[in-house]
Amino acid sequence: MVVDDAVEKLEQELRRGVVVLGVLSQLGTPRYGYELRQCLVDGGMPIEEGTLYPLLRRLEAQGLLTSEWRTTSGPPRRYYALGPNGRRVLDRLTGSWREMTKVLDQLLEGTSDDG
Amino acid sequence: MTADELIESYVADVVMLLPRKQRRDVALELRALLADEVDGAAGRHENREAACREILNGFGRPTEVAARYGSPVAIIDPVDTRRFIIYAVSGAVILLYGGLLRGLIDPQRGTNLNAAVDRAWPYVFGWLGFLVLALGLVGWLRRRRPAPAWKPRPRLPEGINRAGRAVGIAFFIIGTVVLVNPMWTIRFVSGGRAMQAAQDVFTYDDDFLRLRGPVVLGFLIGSIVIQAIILVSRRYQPWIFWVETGYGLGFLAVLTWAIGAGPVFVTDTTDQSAKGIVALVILLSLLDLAVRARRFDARHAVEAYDRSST
Repeated sequence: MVVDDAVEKLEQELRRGVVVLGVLSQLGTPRYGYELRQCLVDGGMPIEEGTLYPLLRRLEAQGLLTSEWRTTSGPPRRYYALGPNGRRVLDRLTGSWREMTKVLDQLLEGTSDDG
Repeated sequence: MTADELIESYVADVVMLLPRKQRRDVALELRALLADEVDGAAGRHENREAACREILNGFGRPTEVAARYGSPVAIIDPVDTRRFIIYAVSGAVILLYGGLLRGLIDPQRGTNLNAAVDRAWPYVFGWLGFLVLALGLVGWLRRRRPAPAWKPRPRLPEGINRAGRAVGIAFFIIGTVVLVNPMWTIRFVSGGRAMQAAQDVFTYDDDFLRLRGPVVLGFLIGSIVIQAIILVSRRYQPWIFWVETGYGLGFLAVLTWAIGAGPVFVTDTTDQSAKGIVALVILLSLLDLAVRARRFDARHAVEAYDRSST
C-alpha cells in the first residue's frame, strides 16, 4: 500500500515534468483545449483537465503560444498554436529530453547490473 | 441543478477569485471547455448532470483552479512560515503573560484576572498584524532585489564568556545587597543625609518580609551560585543549559507570585513602580530564555553532527 501510494505520487510528478513538452509537441496545428486533451490522452499521456487548461494560458503568457477565438460550428472556442518562440523552445526541449532519456537509460542499466 | 447551471456556478466561483482583467476571458474559455468535457463524458453516465459533477470534481476546487490560472502571490513567503509561527506564538505568550502580570499588580485587587488577560488580546492581534506586515515586506524585497551572496557568520562560541559572567555576578551581588536593605544603601549613598521620608519610601511590607521576601532572596542567592559554577566550568555543556533554563523559569514563577500575592513596599507609589519594573524584567527574561533556547538547539544540532562525523 505504501509502495503503491508512493509510486502513484511520484509517477504524477514524473508526468508533470514532461507535460509541457507533450503539450508543445501537439500544437504544431491550432487546437482548442478539449481537442488537445483528447489528442494527448489518445497518444498515451493522460492529463487532468484542471492542469491542462491553466497551463495553456501560462504558456501563452510566456510567449510560447498564440491563441484566437474561433466560432466554427457551435459555441466560440479558443484555439492555441505554437508561436515562433514556442517552436524554438520545443526544438531545444526535445533535444534536452533525448539527452536526458539517454542518461537515465545508462543510469538505470547500471542499477540493474548492480542487482 | 442542470449541467449548465452547475457549470455556470462553478465558473462563477473560479473567476471571482481571479484579477478583474482576467475574469471575462477565463469565464468564456472555462465555460466552453467544461461544456466540451461534459459532452465528451455524457455517454459514460446516466445523464449529463452526473457527467458534469464528475468532471467538476476532477477539475478541482475553484480555489485550486483559480490558483493555477493566476500567479498567486503569498503575503508571507513559504520560507518565512516557520519563523512567523515561532515569533507569533512567542510574542502572543509574552503579551498574554504581560496582561496577566498587569492584572496581578493592579491596585484594585478585585480585578478579574481573566479580564486582565482579555485586555491583552488587542495587543496580540496588533503584534500578529505587525508580523504579517514585516514578513510580507521582507518577502516583497526578496522578490524584487537579487539576494546578496551568502556570507558565513562567526560560529557561536562554545566556551563560556567568563568576563561577561564575572561582571554579571558582580552586578547580581550588588543588586541583591541593595534589595535586601535599600534603606542602608540610601544612607550609604547619601552619607546619612537622606531624609527619613526618603528612607520610608523603601520600607518593605511586613507580609512580604515574612515569606515572599526570603524565597526571592533564596532564589537570588541560588542564581549567583549557579553563575559561579558556570564561571568555573570548562565548557558550556547541555546540563548547564537545562539547569539554567529550569532554574530561570522557576525564578520567574516565584517573582510572579511575589508581586502578585500582595504589596511588596509599604508606600503605594514605590510598590507599583517596583512591581512594574519586576514585571518588565520577567517579560524580558522570558524573551531572553526563548532566544537562548533556540540558539542552544541550533548549536546542539551542529555539535551532534560534529561528534558523529569524528
